[in-house]
Amino acid sequence: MGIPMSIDIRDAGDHRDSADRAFEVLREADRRFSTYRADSEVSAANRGELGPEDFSAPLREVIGIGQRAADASAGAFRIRTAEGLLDLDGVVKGWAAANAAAVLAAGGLHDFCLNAGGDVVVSGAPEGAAGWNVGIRSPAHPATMLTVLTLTDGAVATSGAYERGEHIVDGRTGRPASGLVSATVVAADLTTADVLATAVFALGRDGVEWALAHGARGVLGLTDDGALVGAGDLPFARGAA
Amino acid sequence: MRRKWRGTILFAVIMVVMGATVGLRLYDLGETQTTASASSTTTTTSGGTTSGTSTGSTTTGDATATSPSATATPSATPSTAAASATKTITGAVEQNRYGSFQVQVTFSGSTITAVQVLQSPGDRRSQEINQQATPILEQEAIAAQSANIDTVSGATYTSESYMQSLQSAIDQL
Repeated sequence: MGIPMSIDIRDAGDHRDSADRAFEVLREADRRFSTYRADSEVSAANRGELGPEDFSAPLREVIGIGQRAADASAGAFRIRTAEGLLDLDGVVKGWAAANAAAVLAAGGLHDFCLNAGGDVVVSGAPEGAAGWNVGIRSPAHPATMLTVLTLTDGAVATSGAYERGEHIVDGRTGRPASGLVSATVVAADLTTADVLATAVFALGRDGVEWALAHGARGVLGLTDDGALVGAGDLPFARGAA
Repeated sequence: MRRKWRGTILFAVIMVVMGATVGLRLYDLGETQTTASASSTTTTTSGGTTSGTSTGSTTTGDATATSPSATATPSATPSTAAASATKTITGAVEQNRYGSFQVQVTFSGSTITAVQVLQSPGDRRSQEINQQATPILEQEAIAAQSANIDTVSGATYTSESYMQSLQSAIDQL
């Protein structure tokens, strides 16, 4: 995927094996879904070498998730390009990272934080802390945070104009999404958070409340005229003390 | 629809308040930075812990001449007539692409009871914050205090920018 990924495990003991297994889930997803790899399943599908009946179970699953989001957002979210090619980037990263986090949990880990290119899954908390402090990056100034959320169990995903913004198209109009320059979604799982963050970005301001009805716990948006808007439960970090 | 929008605006207010709070509380900077830009009467709020809130000090960063009715009479303590002290804190002047922005927050104990905009882009008059959605606060201070952030949600970094990112610093721990 060409994106940085990190896993921070705070459970006692040496858990490199678990981390390795989780990373492998992400690598496998990359091999299968990357449009930058000629040998990926998605590339093969886009060349017409594979018909839908040939698709693997993971590819079907990801397409299903994306299609449901497309339907729910009246087409604002999309999984195909204007040319009809599969573009699953809005689904794959969150889905793969959620699976990687599930591997960690299945391995008995409780306190960890997984970050795949800005998509975050947290479980438990660092020792002595109320939760994991997740900074929400400012789209205009990458080194600064819009705010910080404290989470114990859940997922956070952010779509922004600084990210793949030019590629996020409002599927309803076919034009680049407008209205928001950043959309952050907090949800129980990262698959949901990631898809919804992209969908909210595509929908614009209306997406903020829309997402609450589609599985988001909390939504934070920065509008293109500079207002921070939010809905639902957004657990802002408290003082460091 | 209209009601929904109103709700959103109200929430935007909370957002800004929290932004200020995060900046002040987490990172111990409100007062210091304020003094740089404005203020005359400043007392220290010793950032982080507000645990000993019983001091009852009123801190008004009395912002520049450009902010007229900055007289945020902090006496407006609401229902909680408890032992909680009222404290007014002026946030740092934040620059964003629309201009400078500064808020003043009144706490009753640890509860926010009032927020006033002292400076706002395009409008130099002091105004009640809940009259309109407000521009973002760019909390450069938060970035400067990145040690308090465990991880960052936001970008598919390029490898180059990743080298500069907060997450890379975390990874080096």
